[in-house]
Amino acid sequence: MRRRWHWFERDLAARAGLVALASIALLALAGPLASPWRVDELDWARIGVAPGLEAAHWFGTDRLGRDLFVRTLAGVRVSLAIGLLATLVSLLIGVAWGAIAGYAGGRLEGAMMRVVDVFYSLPYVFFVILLTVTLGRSPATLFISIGAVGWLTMARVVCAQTESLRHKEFIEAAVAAGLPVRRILVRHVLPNLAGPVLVYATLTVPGVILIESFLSFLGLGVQEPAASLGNLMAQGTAEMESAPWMLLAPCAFLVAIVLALGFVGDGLRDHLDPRER
Amino acid sequence: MTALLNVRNLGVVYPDGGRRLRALDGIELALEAGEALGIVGESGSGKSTLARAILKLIAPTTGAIEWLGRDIAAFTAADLTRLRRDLTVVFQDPVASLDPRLSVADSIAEPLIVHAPALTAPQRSRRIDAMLEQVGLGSGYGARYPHELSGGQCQRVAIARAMITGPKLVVCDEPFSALDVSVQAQIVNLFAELRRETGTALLVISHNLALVRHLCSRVMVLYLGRVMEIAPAEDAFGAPLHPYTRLLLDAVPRLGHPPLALEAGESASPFEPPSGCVFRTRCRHAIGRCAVERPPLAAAGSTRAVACLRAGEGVARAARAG
Repeated sequence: MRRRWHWFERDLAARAGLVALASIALLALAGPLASPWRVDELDWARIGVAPGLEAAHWFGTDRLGRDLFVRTLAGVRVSLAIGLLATLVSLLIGVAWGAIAGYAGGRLEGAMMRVVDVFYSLPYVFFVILLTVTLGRSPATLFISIGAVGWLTMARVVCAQTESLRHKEFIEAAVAAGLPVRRILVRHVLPNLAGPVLVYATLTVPGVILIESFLSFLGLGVQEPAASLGNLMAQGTAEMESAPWMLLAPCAFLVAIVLALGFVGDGLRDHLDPRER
Repeated sequence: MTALLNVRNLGVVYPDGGRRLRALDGIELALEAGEALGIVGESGSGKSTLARAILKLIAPTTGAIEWLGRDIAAFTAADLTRLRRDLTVVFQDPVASLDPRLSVADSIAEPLIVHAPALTAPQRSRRIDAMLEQVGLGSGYGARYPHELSGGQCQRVAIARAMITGPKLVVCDEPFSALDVSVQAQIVNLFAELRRETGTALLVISHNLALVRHLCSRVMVLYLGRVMEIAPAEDAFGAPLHPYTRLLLDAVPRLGHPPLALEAGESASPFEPPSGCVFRTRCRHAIGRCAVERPPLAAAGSTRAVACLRAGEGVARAARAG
């Protein structure tokens, strides 16, 4: 195991990314405990104040007097949770769908991948608006609409990868040894997919976070008074000239998260793709 | 006595767009228990397709493959599991035929888990260690991964995996061609040794005539999916009856001999095989009749058969001049 992680100690960017991610997550979880304010609490005495130490409004307040430090960290929690959960769901559906299609080949693969194509061809924002209208605005809707699309690319990646694996001699050897299909998939196909899948997953998380931010920015995602990085930025944009801190705090966190995930993903790709084995 | 393996009038056709590639056509073959049969021929002659059909990795288009007298196409799941235990395979590329994520011991354990599920873990690892010794690797190799091994060592692991279930027949699809010459010799000797010790039959597919001659008692020569000649190894290589066998022998480069003349040419297209005898387009002895009549695989003596209209005239006997 030590050998597996050795590359990580040498890859400064990936290590910095992972450390940054861990600190952000820790801050998002523990930070609000240090503040006397709650997410939806109004401070009538200080509306729209700039960041400072006064009354513990470290990131300032918004136009309703809500504390931005607490709200930004709440937004980070929402964004990270959606990013990780939606990626996990897209990972599960995408890998299962793609691996079965790729391993089966022939007509089944054709049918399964055409379903993916149909989903792909739906205009995404229109699809989300339709879902929001029919299911109502809620984090669950947001989750479904992101998940419904997130697994498609994963399924394609996994399907193509599995197809190339299927023709490898070690898979043929497993078939010729009489291994049951399930065992071949679990023992031989999935572990050999791990590299590309893991890399793609780390690249999916920032994508999902950006989609959430974008949807919330449009008013389709997380709704007031709950906070997400997206709707915080939407409000911040409206007040950009008079209260720039409202935009800067959530933006800084979003950029930091996306960059850090990008570094970790790049590190994994560099390590796993050239197949050092 | 029933032969171990009987191939009857086997034909395999691959659809390729609108065209049909006839990879095998009318193959007849019988293999006794413990026998070592070599199958030789150029690329595209259908050798690997024959191996895959026998292993039931692809379905025959026509004809049948019988294992111990029963058609494998009609096997039940339980029959098939037993077949997978008794009929194993060693592939060409030793590195690609091992899962890069499994250790050597885990790779060898795979067939045992299916075919000997009653074994406890310590029993299994004892058998694996013994097998590793038998193929000339120490038991210390069990913990290694394929990328840590050389091609020859990987091939030994693949052979161990094929032998661990105690098979009656091991199909070897070009087991030497990816190896260095010195390693080829070691692997050939290993096969010969294992055959002596276990009495397993071998079906060796190769284009290396010398290795086949060393390892096999009988040889089948394939060209464009048809049997050209089948004979005891000594006869086939010592006194070939078919001009194609002669061509294969002459094509082996030897010191002190000029390189082969261009006349040898390349294999005709399997999409549009020549009429009559498929080899006639490259045959120096072809006559008018060869384009019309398909030569049957006719017995020539008690032990051999040849598919050539002019075999009786001894056209293939003389080595090519110069």
